[in-house]
Order: sequence, then structure tokens, then C-alpha cells
Amino acid sequence: MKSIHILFIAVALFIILTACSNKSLNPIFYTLENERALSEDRGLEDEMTIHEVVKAGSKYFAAANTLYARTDSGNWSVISPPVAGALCNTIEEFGGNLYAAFYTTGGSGLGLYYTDPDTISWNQVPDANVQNVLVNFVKAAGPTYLFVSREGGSSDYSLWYSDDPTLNAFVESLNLPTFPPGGSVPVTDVEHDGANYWVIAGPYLYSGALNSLTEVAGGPTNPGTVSFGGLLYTTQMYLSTRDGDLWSYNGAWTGPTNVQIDGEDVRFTGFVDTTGVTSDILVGTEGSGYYELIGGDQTTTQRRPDYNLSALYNGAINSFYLDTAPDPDILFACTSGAGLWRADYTAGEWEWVQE
Amino acid sequence: MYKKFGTVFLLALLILCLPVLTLSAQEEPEQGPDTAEPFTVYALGQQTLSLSAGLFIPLFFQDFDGAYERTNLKLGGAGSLQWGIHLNNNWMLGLEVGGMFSRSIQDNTLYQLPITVKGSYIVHFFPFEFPIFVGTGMDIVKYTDQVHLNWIIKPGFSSIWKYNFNWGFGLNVVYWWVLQPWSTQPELGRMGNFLEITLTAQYNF
Repeated sequence: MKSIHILFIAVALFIILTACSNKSLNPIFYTLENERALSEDRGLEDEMTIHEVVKAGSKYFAAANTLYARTDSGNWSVISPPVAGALCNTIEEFGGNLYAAFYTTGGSGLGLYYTDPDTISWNQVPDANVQNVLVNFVKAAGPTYLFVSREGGSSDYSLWYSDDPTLNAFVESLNLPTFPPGGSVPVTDVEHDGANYWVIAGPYLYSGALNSLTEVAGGPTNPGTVSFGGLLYTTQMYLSTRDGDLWSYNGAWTGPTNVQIDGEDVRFTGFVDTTGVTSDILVGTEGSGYYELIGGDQTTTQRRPDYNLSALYNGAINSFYLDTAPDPDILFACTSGAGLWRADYTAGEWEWVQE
Repeated sequence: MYKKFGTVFLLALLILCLPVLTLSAQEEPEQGPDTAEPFTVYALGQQTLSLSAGLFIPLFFQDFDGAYERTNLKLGGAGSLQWGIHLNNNWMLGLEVGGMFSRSIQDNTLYQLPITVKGSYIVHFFPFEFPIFVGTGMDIVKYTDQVHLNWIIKPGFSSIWKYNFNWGFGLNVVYWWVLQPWSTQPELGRMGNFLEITLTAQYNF
């Protein structure tokens, strides 16, 4: 009888001990066993802030205040700006050219420039509306347009577009209201759903034709005090917020799916469509790595990467860039203060290294 | 891989067996009163405090089907504080709080904090003592954002030189066997196998 008691106590103790783990994460020894070295030093500091990466011509470009470039197999090197000492944190490839918005170390806007990505010879975009102004966002969206969000214009911030910025003038698409009073809300994302454009700026969500964007009411815009994180259109529109909500829109809103860690809302940022690689969609966060929307379903999410990649697992992801041209497919994650990470999709997994 | 881990395991077992061999040698027929244990050192109620510090050697992981895998850990450090109470000249019961750290190949740090109950049998060979012991209890294992509470078993031995009645100095060799089952996905469960080699100072009172 006594031995049965001892056995019972031992089993109970064993169950208690093994119950004290986060079962959503892999166990420690298994995680250690599967670790591999992350040392692929391509010349960027591990603690850098990287805003965006794009590929243009034969090179990748990284906007990290300083502008960097590298070839497929090379190391990152500094690209001289058009004005000595100018900084850059938003770039885009459009029409075969690299577009970059520069500003001075004092914070004054220098406007939008473009160059052939292989020869690097900067030209100022000819339209005066995007010259010598502070540009916070450049993105190609829809079939033929480059969008630019700039300070000033008809209001604190305004959204402009052009189908050939090297020749044609930009057209002002949207004047953004001031929010909160006295502050300002720059555009942070633009998407095209095949018929309409969608724009997010702070707590505002707009949708409509190019020159008649109107504020969306209801759905994720209630109660109207939340900042949106990112937009993505695949077969439906996805929307993230900085208070943990994920929405989708396919004629009607679905959501929100609220994601929390220890009772705190996850602050979502932008998406990347990896459905062509993994069937999943990824969405970045401010401080919690990124989440997979399994099978593109925003109600089934999983925090990634593995927790032992602690700099990325707890990282603030500014943006992603997916390149499916090489084999294997390449995914960049640009972080605040944790450098640039690159994943190669091999053996059914994103294998991350820090560049 | 299997051969390598098998060799390491056998070496560790051999090291653990050394004090037993010593014990066997001591059980040889006595030649005379001079070779007997010189005197009784410990009596019921006497206490011992030990402080140890030294190396932590990651050996291998083993899954519950028996396959061996590498730990991807580097040489680390270990330490412990032990309190024990003697039951007689040879037997001692104690409590031990230990700790270790070791860096992984991704430069994250693994920490373990075992808290164990420990039974020791002390072989006397004046001026040396050879405690053979086994401890068991809970092990708090932390690695980046993950924390486990696991079961640990720590067999080992020490070689202590008695400087005087109160003080002794020596070496501990301790095997750490940490069970980390995983109920949701049993195939991810592992047993951690590590070796601690530490210098120790003990004080008897």
C-alpha cells in the first residue's frame, strides 16, 4: 500500500512538473537539437533598423536611413544618395526604375528621386508636387500606378499617384484629415482589389476609385480610434490593426479575430502574401515577430518564427519583401533594431538567417 | 553520431563507476587495525554546507525511442549550494540548489536551476572522503521565452580532501539526467544528458 502511495505521488509530481510549460511552443531540448547557426554576415549591423527591402534590376536594395544594395550572392554596400548626407527610409521598384524618397539629417524633405538600379544615377522626379517635400511612403499598387504619401499638399498629408513619374505629373488622390487634432496621419498602405483602391492612414480606411476614395464606415473602422497596421489583397482584402485585430473583406467584413499575448493586444503591422509558397499569409507585429494566417484564414494564426530566434521572435517588423524568382524562394523581414533577416524556403520551412 | 554519443555515455558511466571501484578496493580483507577507517568523523545531527563551481559539459539528447541527438550547446558553467545532515558516519541526506548556463550555437543562453533532495554514502579513506550520491527533484529549465519545470536525476561522486575537521576541498563529478517529455507531441520529448565537473569547498559543523 505504501509503495502505491509513493507511486501515486511520483506520477502526480511528474504531471505537475510537465504541465508548467507553454505548449504552444516547442520544448526546449527539441528546439536546441534543431538549431543551426545564423551567421551569414552580409555586412549589416545586427541592431540596425531596416525600413524596406525591394529588388530592382539585378540587385536588392535596403532602406535603412542609409541606402544599401547587394547582388544575389554579394554583401551589402552603401549607395550614395543624390544629395550628400541625405537619408532614405522608403523605396520602391516601378517601371524598371528604383524610386527612393530622401530627407536631410535635420528632417527636411528632399522629395522623390529615381534611378536605373544597375547604374545608379539619381534624377529628381520632375513633378514639383513631390520635389523637396517629406515623403513617408512610396508603393506601386494596382496595374499601373505609383503612389506617394507626402507631407503638406491640401492638408497635413496627402496621397498622390502617377503612371509614369519620370515623365508625367502626379495627381493628388486624397487629402487626409488631421488626427488626432493637431497631429497628422500619413498614409501607411495602399492596395488594389482589382476594381477599387484601399488606403489606410492612422485610424482611417478609404476605398473607391482612384479619384473618388471615400472613408469606409462600419466594420473595422468602429470605434474609429484604432490605428491600422496593414492591408493585403489576395482573393480577399485583409486588414490588420495595432490593437490585435485581423479582418478580412469579401463583399462583407469578417472579424475581428483578436490576438493577444499575456492579455495584451498584438500590435500588427503589414502583411506579405506567401500563398504561392506556403498557402499561408504572414503579418508582422511590433515586438512579437510575425504571425502566420494558416491557409490564409485570419481566424487560425500561429506566432512565428521559433522562439529561439529571439531577436526576430520578439522583433518589430517594419515590412516584408518576398522574392519568388530565385530557387529557393526568399523572404526578407525588415526590423526595428534587430537588423535584416532573410529566410530561404527549404524543406517546407522558412530558414531564417540574419544578414 | 550514435557511436560518438555511445562512447561519451560509456566514458561518463566509467567515471561514475570509479568511486565504486574504490569502494570495492576498500572492502578487501583487512590486514590489520591500521588500515581500518581511522575514526568516526560524522555522527547523527552533524551538518555540512558545500559550495561548488566549475564546468558544465553538454553530452547529448536522447528521445524516448532511444535515438541520440546533438545538443548544439557549448561548454558552460555550473554551481551549487548544498546543505546536508549526517545520519551516521557514512550516510547523509541533503538539499541542493544548483544552476548552470550554456550558450547555444545561436548565442542564446540555456539556464537550468535544479532543486534536489540528495542522499550520499560517504566512503572514508583518511584524509580523503569519497561521497557517492544521487539527487532527484525539479529542474527549472529556461531558454529564451520558454520555461519548463522538469524532473531531474543527478547521480555522481566527489573526492574530498579533509584539510581539518571542519573544512574539506575536492572535486564533484555529477551526471545530469533531465526528463523533458511533451504530452501534446510525444515525439518532441527528449532526455537531456549533461556532465558537471566542479570544484567544491565544504564546511562541517
